[in-house]
Amino acid sequence: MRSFLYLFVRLFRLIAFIVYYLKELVLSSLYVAYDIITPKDLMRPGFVEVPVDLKSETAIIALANLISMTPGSLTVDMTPDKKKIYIHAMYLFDKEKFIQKIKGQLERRIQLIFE
Amino acid sequence: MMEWIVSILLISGSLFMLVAAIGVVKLSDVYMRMHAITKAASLGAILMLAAVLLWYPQWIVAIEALMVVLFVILTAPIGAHMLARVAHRMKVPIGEGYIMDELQDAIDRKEMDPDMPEEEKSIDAEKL
Amino acid sequence: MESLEAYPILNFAVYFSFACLTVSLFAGLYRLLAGPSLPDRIVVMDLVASLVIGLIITYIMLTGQPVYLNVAVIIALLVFMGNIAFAKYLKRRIDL
Repeated sequence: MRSFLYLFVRLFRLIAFIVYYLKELVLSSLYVAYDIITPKDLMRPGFVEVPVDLKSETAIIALANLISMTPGSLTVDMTPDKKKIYIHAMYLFDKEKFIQKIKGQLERRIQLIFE
Repeated sequence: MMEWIVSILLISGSLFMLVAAIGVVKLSDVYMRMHAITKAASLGAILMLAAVLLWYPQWIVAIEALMVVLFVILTAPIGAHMLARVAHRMKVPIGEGYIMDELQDAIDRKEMDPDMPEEEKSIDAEKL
Repeated sequence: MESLEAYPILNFAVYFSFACLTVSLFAGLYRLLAGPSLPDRIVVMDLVASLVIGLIITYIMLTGQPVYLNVAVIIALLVFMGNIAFAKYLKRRIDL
């Protein structure tokens, strides 16, 4: 009974996660679209190194996909020991804030579901 | 009523695709073009599929539209990731305005291994 | 379903989508011809796949045959394979 309840909670978190993913996709598309249409360039691109604490491969794949779908970030590479990933960011005004967003929002959500 | 919703979905989806195409022409290097394609183009495809699903509310259409959406959402980031990785290894020149390149720093520090495993390499060398 | 003529707004939307997608195809063609490096040209393949999915959907609306959605499924799968194959090929070319 208890495990059944746990499964239910995980399923609910997964659905909330899918909704969040779609919301991020729409927001990021609108942001990129706005930046492409307007002639003024807001871009400040760069490659950033972000440490990862996830253990399982599924979770890391989900994180990489989610990063590619959030506004102005694209997973590029990963160290062989799976400790750091490298992200190409489009709007890199504040590096600490960017890393904080990746770790605080995306990684925490994935940790809740997969681990 | 329904035809208005479907029309709005179709028009907005095709406009997203147009924006992605403009981005491919306008943006300054490979990585930023990949940004435009993985986000704007996949959202455009999803919106247009939603239009078809609303106009033909049948099970078979729903299942096939869902399959296309899943393939696009799951595979577009993976393909972009692999291409970006290879492009960076090929040393495709980056555009202007970059403020940091920590990946290149890591490669310079020899933390990344740019080579394939040895056995795979020898097989390729024999084949060619 | 009924023909498009009964719904003028939908008729307009379909032809507008055709116009947008055609312009986008030409934009992709420009990048394909002018792209300075090989990954630039491969990226266009991804864009063209999305555009073709869009064209198929517009064609479904035009003809009223949702059967053509099968083609969209196949294209969505094939282009992923193509991407991976191109990435592998480029990786070999660097290493050798």
